[in-house]
Amino acid sequence: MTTTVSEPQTPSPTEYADQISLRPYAQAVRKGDFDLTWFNAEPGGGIWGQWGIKAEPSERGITLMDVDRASGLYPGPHAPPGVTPRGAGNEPGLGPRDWDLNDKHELWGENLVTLYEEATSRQWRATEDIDWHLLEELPPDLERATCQFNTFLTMGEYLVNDVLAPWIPAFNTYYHEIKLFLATQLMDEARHTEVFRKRTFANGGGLGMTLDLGNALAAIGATKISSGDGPGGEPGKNPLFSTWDHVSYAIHVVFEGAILSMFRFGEYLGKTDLDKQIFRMVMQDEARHVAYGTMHLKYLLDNSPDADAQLERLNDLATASEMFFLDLFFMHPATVESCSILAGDGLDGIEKGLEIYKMAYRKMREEYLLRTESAGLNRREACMLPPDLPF
Amino acid sequence: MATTTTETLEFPSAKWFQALADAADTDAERYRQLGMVECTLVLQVGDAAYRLTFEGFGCTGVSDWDGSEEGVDCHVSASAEDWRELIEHIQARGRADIHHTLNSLVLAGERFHLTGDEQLGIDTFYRYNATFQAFIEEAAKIPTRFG
Ligand SMILES: [Fe+2]
Ligand SMILES: [Fe+2]
Repeated sequence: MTTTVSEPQTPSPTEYADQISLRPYAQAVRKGDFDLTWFNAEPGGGIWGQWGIKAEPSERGITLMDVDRASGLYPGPHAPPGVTPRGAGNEPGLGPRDWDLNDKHELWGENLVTLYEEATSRQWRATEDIDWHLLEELPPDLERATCQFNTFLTMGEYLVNDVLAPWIPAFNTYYHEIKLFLATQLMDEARHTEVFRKRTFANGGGLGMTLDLGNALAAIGATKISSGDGPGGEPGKNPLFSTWDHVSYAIHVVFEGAILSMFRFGEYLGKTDLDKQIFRMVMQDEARHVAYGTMHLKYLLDNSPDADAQLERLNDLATASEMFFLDLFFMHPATVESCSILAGDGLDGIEKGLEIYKMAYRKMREEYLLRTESAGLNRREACMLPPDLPF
Repeated sequence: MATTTTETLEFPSAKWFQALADAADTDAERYRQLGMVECTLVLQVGDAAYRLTFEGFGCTGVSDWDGSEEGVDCHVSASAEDWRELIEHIQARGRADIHHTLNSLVLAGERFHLTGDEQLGIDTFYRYNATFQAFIEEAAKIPTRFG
């Protein structure tokens, strides 16, 4: 038996047209009586923001820094509860709206605005801006190792987007900078997935072995925002991803710090001009993500009302993150071996290549320690990343 | 307006690095596409050192380095012989091969070294790496005499 589900509250298109034509505003406009609340409002009176502002373009055009300078609308320490863009007025009767993150110390970094402008300026296209014609045929062992390394990186890229994307609606619109910057990061990571995927299919190889990376993260709840972890949910069960501070530390500082080193190493390992070019481009993007994470960490530690407790929490988190990502990345056989084959110029050179892989790991660890130190978190004694890899 | 030099310039010298900046200016569209840069590098060539400031889309200032770290993001240093080898290589090939990119050289850390007071300053070398690589490859256009 079939039943028809009717929705009496939804009018037909004709009924709807009749209804809206009876609205007071429609009737008034038909008589030439316009509302013009926004037009007649005094600037600064609550309905309209400012008036008479003239941001001067620089050589680059008009940046957000130019706009802040001209308007004086720098972000304060707390955001008002609403959807108002910073500096705008409000329609009479506009109600409040809750956001998860409303305090500057929870999200800011002194480089956030400039990093956003840098991100938009340094965008590139995997299709057109990479000189694909520079690809050269490689010996099968090197092509296979290149494809495995790129497969691993492809996974890491969408992992980052899956974790970060649901956080954009958590930030109060007053701090538009973090929303905009994260949007550029999502585009960056999408392009990285794209370029690594394209590379694996461009030179006679193909995608290689999937690592247990996404599964490992899903198992601990990183991607289950709606079921408890992250913004809008219950306090998260996985401390790596339960608050923005933790997400940013785990992703921007630990994970992407490691990925940045991997990209630098990838550029070094690249066997064709094309591979070098790809890694130079992704390296630039990744360094921006790490720069935000480092400067956010510093801002948080400098401005948090409970800096000591924050430091303790972050130290616990760092311990967990370091172990988690060491296992996922630097100790995984497919990563160790594909990088070592590339570094050793072939399967025969895998042992020599392993020494170079270990050198790159040591550099990664040192850069991580220097970054956290400069932000005010000294991990040198407590760091769970061992000074050298155990092989 | 900047022009590419036809005069033979001595390496290392501030004039030689200024010629790189001028050569980059003649290809402004390429650098604009690579994107904005905000960074001050010190390039050390043996005992000599030069301060290069990048703003907007190109290199806006070249001078002998006075030893001050004020405003400097990072240093790239190597012996005069190793810089010479790099420049002669770029001039012979037109651009760096896979063993001669700046990142490869400093990552190996055997001949070229990347250093700085702050990791965030060092990280700018990664953030603008494609620009710096294009910039050093302008060496292919500079008639050079090695001092
Ligand atoms: Fe990425
Ligand atoms: Fe990233």
